[in-house]
Amino acid sequence: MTAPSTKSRKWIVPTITVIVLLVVWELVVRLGLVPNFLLPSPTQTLVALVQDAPELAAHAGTTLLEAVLGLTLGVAVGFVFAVLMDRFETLYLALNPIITVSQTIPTVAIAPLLVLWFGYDLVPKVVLIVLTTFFPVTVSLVSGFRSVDPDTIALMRTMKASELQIFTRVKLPAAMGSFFSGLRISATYAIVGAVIAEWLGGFSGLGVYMTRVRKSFSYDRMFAVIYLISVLSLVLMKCIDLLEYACMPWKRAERKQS
Amino acid sequence: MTRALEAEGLVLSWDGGETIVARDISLCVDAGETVCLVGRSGCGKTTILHALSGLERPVSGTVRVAGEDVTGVPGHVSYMLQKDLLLPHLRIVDNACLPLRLSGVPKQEARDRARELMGRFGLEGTEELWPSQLSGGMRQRAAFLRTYLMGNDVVLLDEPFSALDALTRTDLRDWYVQMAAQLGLASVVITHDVDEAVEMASRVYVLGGKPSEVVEEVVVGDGARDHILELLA
Repeated sequence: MTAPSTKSRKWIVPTITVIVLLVVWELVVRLGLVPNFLLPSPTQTLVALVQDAPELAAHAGTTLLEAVLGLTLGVAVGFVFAVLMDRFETLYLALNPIITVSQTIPTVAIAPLLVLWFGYDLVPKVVLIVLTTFFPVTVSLVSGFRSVDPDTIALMRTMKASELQIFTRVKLPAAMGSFFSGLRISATYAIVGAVIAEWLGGFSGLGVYMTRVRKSFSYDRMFAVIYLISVLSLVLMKCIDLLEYACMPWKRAERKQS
Repeated sequence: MTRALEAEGLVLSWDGGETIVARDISLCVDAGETVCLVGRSGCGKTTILHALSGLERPVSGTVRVAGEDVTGVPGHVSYMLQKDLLLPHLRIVDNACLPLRLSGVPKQEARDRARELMGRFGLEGTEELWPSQLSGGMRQRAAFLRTYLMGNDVVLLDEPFSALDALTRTDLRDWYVQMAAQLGLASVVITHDVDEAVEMASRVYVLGGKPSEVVEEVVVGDGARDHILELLA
């Protein structure tokens, strides 16, 4: 029998790990090592997920809308900040500490204030997501812009390139790798941010659903929604992987070469 | 006679005038001719090329291209820096035609013009490859083509063969000398290899001292190699 290739091992090893963990979890609950009312088994969670599927789908739609909207605006804000900070050194010095400090404020602390200021609709959720997602994008873009070899900029100047041409043809493509790394982090923040914002007030969304089932001590449904949040985050990250794959064809060639 | 490139009395500094790195640098090169600058590491050879290219303004002195004063103004000479500096996100043909694209030539026309020259630069079949798919020698050829497509009659090369293995280096050097002569390019080449300098150039400017200055302008002929080595010792 031949050993599986490295490529298939990348799938087989984590898949087996997850299956083993789920089996152990199932056994721990079924054997009564942990009280069932505290920890539902994976199969109970799956049953709850199927039973509540229509309701969960509606709530997931709301959360996903907030997350995608907030993430899109967060990326736009992050991009503008990064471009300005790269272009104007004074602005970089002025904004860098403020942006960093803004990330030390806990999301759960600022969310009630946003609800107070903007009400229970879409706006406070989107604002919270923008606040949490723009930072990784800004930081990754600024670092990408600054990673450009100064000799490349010098070369562009000998070709009479304008500042805009240097930006679009050198800096922006050079920053794409780190931008997608930042975007991947922002995507996970977007879903979590939406759920946290919904906890504190709203009419629909996975956070609202979570608050309701927690109050009724339906921990199987609580775990079902946790599964769903993980799946949504993974789907969003996969979408970003596909976008990166499509936007950076030269990286595929580099990977093949290495 | 108007020289293709002429520098007179250049005084150069690293930090805006505080530390003088080279002084009284005067040199010239004619169309179809190659001259070399040789000197020890750190003597300011690259700073001199930066000044000739207009990337750095000298403390004093002038740089003229075809008689026109272009001191401190980039874009009048084609400059190939030490590394090939191919943009990793552009295919070879797009890297080569970058100067044309920057000057506003439409994409298809620029690509066609680069494609026409690919064979002459030994790059046939590599048009649609990415830089990471090419060997060091081929990347350097692509950088030469990009430099040529900058469209200037004067070319500055900063140690263009230093990153290559001995065989590729000799091949590429011979190829460049032949091609530059055919195209009538005036080339200023930095090298720290004296053998390379006497192979390529008709005249060699030997730099020495601190701050650097031109110790002697050696016309290449019998015994030039040993004489340059003595000057550098």
